[in-house]
Amino acid sequence: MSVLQVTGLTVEFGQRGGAKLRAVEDLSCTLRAGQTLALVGESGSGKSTVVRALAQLQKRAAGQILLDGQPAAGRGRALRAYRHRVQLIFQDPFASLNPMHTVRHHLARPLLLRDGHPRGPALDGAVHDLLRSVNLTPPGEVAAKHPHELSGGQRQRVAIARALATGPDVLLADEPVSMLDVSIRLEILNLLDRLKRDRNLAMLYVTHDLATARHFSAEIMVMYRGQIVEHGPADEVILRPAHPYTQVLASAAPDPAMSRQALADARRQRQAARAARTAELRESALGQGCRFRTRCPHAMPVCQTSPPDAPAGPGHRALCWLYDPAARAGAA
Amino acid sequence: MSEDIVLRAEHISVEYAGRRPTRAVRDVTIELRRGEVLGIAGESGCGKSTLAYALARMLKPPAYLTGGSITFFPAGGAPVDVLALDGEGLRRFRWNKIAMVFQSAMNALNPVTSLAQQFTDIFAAHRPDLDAATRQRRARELLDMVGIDPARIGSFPHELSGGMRQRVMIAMALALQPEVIIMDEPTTALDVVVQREILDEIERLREELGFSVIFITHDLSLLLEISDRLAVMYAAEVIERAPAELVGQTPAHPYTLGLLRSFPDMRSARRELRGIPGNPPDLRSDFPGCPFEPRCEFRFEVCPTAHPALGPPAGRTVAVPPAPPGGADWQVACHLHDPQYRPGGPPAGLNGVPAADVVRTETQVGAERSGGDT
Repeated sequence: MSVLQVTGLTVEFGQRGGAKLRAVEDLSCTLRAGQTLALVGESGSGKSTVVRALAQLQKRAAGQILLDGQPAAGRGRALRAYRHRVQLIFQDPFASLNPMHTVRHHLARPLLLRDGHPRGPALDGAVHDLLRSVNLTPPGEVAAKHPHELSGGQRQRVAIARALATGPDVLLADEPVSMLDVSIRLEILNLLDRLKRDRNLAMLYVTHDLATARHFSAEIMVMYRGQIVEHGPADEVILRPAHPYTQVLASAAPDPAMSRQALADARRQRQAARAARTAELRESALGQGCRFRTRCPHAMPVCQTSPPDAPAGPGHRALCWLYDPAARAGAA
Repeated sequence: MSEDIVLRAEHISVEYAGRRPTRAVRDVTIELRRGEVLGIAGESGCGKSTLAYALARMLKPPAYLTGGSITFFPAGGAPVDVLALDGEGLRRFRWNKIAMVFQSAMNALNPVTSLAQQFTDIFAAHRPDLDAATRQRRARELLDMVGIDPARIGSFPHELSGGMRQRVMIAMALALQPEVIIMDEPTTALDVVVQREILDEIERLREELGFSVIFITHDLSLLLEISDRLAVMYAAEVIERAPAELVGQTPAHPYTLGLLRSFPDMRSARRELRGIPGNPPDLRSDFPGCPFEPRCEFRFEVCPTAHPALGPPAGRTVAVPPAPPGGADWQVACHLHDPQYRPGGPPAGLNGVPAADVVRTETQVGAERSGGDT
C-alpha cells in the first residue's frame, strides 16, 4: 500500500556564478501506510531539502510525486488539499510554535482552515482530543497555555498534535527529537510510533542518529551529498551496511560494548587510514563519478565514473561500483 | 594521594541571580587526576556547563559562585587557590593552566580576523616575549598538530568546515600548553564521522602532551567510551560518580540507568525503548527530597522527604576492588543503596548485576525481523 511515491526527485539551487547546486539528485522512494522510512545522513547532505520538496515548500527541478497514485498538484486549492494530507514536524519546537498564541490557537487554526470545523464546544472538544492523543493532559489546562509555559518535549507534542489536526496520511518528521533533552527523546519517538500505527500513517523519519533510525523504521535510506547511496531494510542497512559511506558512518557511532583495548586498536587503525589519504585528496574537487570516492577506503579507478545503483542483498541497494558484477569481475 | 590530582573543586555552588535565584550547581565536589579524562554527563539545564565555567573562573553575572573552593596543583609547583586569584594573577592562570574548548566554534572564533591574527592575539596577551616570527611558526605548528594544513593560517573562520573550526578551537586551547583542558560539548554540533575524527585527535594529543581533560556532554554513550571516570549530574547535583568502564553495564543510580536506556544501542536486538518519563525539575526550587524522585520508577517512602547524599553503592564490592586507579571511588546519591532504608540492597538493574536491557551484546541479525516495523 503505497501512499506517497516519489520518482527521480531532483532539487537545484541557483548559485552566484552560474552553475547550479544540485542539493538532491534523482531520489526515488515510497512511503507506505503504517510504515516508517528513515532518511539518514550528515548535516548538509540534503535531508531537509528532501522534506521541503515532499511538502512542496521547495520547487523541484525534476521528478514526480504521486499521492495515492495521483500526481501532486503544485498550486491552488489542490495544493492546499495536498498539504492537509502531507504534514510536517520540524526540528525545533521553540521556533515552530508562535510565542504569541496559546496552544488552543495552534490546534484550532488548522481545524478551522481545513474544513470549516464548527466553532464553540465542538471545536474545544476536537482540540482536547488532539491534546489527549499526544498525552498532554489535562487538555483544558494545556490548551490555555502559551509555548513559553511548556517544556521542549511538551512543545514538540503540541507540534505533533498540530500536524495531526488536518487528518494527514503522511507525516514528514525532520529531526523531530534532536533539539530535545536526551531523556525525553525516546518518549516522543514512541509517541510518533504509536500514532503511526493507530492512524496508519506513512512516515518519513529524518535523522542523523543511526540507532533510532534502526529501531523505529522498517527501511532506511542513507544520503550522501544529495544522493541516496544505500537503501534497504533497517536491520540490513545498519548491521550489514553495503556502501562504504554507511560503513564509515556505522563504525563512527560510539559503541560502549567495546573494550578499552578494542577501542584503542580501532582508533589506531582509523588514524593510519586517515594518514594514508592526504589532506589534498580529501579536499579535491569532485567532478563526475562517485561523490564518496575521495574518502572511500575501497576507491578504484572505475569510481571516476558515476556508480550504478546495484543490488546488495534482498531489497537492499547501494550506489557503488563494488556491487556491480561487471566491475567486480574486472577488478578480480 | 594528592600528588596525582591536578584540580580539586569542593562544595561548589553557583547561582544565577533573579527574583527567585536559579541554583544551577549545588554543592558539587569533583577531582581531576593528572592525565585522565573525567566525563561529566547530564541533560541540558542540569548545570554541567555552569560547573565548567565556574572551574575556569569564567562565570559572568548574573551567575555567581556562592560557595566552595577550587585548588589547582601544578606539576612540580605549589598548590594554587583558584578562587583567590584576581586581576593579573587570574589572567595568567586562565588559558595558561586551564584552557577551554567551547561547543559553538563559530561563535567562539572571531569572524572578522584570520586564524593567524587570532593565534597572534593569544601569544601577544600571554607570551609577550615571543617575537612575530616565533608566533607565526608556533601557530603553524599548532594547526599542523590538530591535522589542519598550516597553509590555511590566513583563512577566516567562515572558510572552514565545522570540524575544522573545532580543530582550530582545540589548537588554540593547546597553544599555551595548559595542564587542564575543559571541553564543553566540543563535538555536539558535528556529525558522527567528524565527531569521531575529533575524538581520535583529542586522544592522540593527550597521549602526546599528557594534559588532563574534563569532557562535558549529554551523550552518555560517547562519554562511557572516552572517559576514565564519570560524574553524572542531575538537577544541579552530582548523583553518581563511577569508573566509566563499569558504569555502562552496572549503573547504580536510577537516573543513570534511565539515561543509558535513552541511548539505544545501534546493534543490539530490537526491544521496546523507553526514555525517562516526565521533565527535569525547575532549578529555582528547593528539593527537600531526591530531585529525581518524581520521575523515578524505583521511588519509595523516604525519597520525597530525605535528601540522599553521595555514598558507596551497594552490591559492587565484588565488581570494584581490586580496582584500577580511579575504580574504587564509586559513589551514588540514592536511598536505594542506603542499608538503613534498604537492608536487602537495591533492586535488580541497580544492584551491580548487569540488567538485561542495559547490557550491550553483539546480536545475530536476519532472523530477528524483516519487513514491517511494529
